[in-house]
Amino acid sequence: MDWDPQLKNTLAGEFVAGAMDDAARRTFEDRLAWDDELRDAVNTWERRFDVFAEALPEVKPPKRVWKSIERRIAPEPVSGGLWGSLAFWRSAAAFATVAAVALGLSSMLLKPVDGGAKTVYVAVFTDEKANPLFVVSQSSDSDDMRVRALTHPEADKSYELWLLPDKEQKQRTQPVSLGLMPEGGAENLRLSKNLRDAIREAAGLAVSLEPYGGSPKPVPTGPVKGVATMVAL
Amino acid sequence: MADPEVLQHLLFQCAREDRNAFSRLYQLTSPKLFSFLLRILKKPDLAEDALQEVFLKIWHRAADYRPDRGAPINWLMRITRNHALDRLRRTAREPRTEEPPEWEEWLSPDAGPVDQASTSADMTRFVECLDELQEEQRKSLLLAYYYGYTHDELADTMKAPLGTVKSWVRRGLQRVKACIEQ
Repeated sequence: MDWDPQLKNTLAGEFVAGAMDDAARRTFEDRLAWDDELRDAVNTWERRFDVFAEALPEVKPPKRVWKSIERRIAPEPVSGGLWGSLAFWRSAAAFATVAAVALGLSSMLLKPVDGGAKTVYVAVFTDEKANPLFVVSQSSDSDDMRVRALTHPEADKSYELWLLPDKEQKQRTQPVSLGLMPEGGAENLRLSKNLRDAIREAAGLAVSLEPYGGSPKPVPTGPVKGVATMVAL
Repeated sequence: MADPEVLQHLLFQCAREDRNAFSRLYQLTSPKLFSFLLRILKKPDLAEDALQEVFLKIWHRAADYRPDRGAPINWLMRITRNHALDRLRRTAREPRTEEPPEWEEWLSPDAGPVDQASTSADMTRFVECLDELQEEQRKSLLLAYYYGYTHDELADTMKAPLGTVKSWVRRGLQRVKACIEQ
């Protein structure tokens, strides 16, 4: 159905007010996912209605609520500092499925490896449902790392690829940026020999969501989208 | 109400997994969010559970906060409200009996939002425009927003046909919009 701006505005108001029944709300939300004009109308109404929220009286919750929240965000026991801790990188689930997915995907994503001395390393980042998000591969006869993004960030964000500190934190105590992920499709990232070697030593990689153009700091600043390890095929 | 700049800074720190900042954010904002959850969910144990879930969402989504889309407290309230309404929708609802807060409360210079330093001119105008609505239109909007009443529930509570209620909501919104844009 074609929605003119006035209808969009009214429906956005009803959506924000909260009066839509479930079916109407679902239809609306489906459209909200791609219709920027509708998204803008919703934002405008949200700002208008914010005044209700501001005027609410305050009620202090019992202490036990914070205690449970605190327990649920507690980091796992850390060995070797914040950056070395996998608990810091939230996506443990992604980590667990990497190896299996990597083996399954390798035949689809990589050209056959010829019988020579070349070795191909690959890591796959997945979401909770094991759908691949990013595929990173590197061949022993190349200076480049091939990165493929199967998802893309919001308009003003970028995905950035990081090499995690090594386990003993001898060579690196902080993540090292390897570059930005393409906004879809595949690209090559040129790497120094040191980094190439480090990556082949089964170092961990991570992808974080950063402001457009990459982290403003030498370390990740945004949420981590996934963690993976390079494996040799 | 906490200073928006303080809250914004705390949210940025939370996005970097700073647990102390998160604790501070909780201290400053949980009384408001809890009060909202109690209002919508009624039962204190449900509201406590919901508050826990809401703050876990805030912790994990702190990086999504955009200063250009409104003040931090309002972003937090939207997460809270959406969570509470989702929760209501997932459980079988009992008949609703709420009354919206007296409209006069909103307009009183001491208790209402109008005098708050953080309240923008736009918001003040919004309240003024709501004041110009017919009583049923305003009440439908307040019940929907504050308690998540759907059209059906509004019709029940306000003892009016569904079509009438829908038009109260729709015309109320259109009038508010026209009034704001005057």
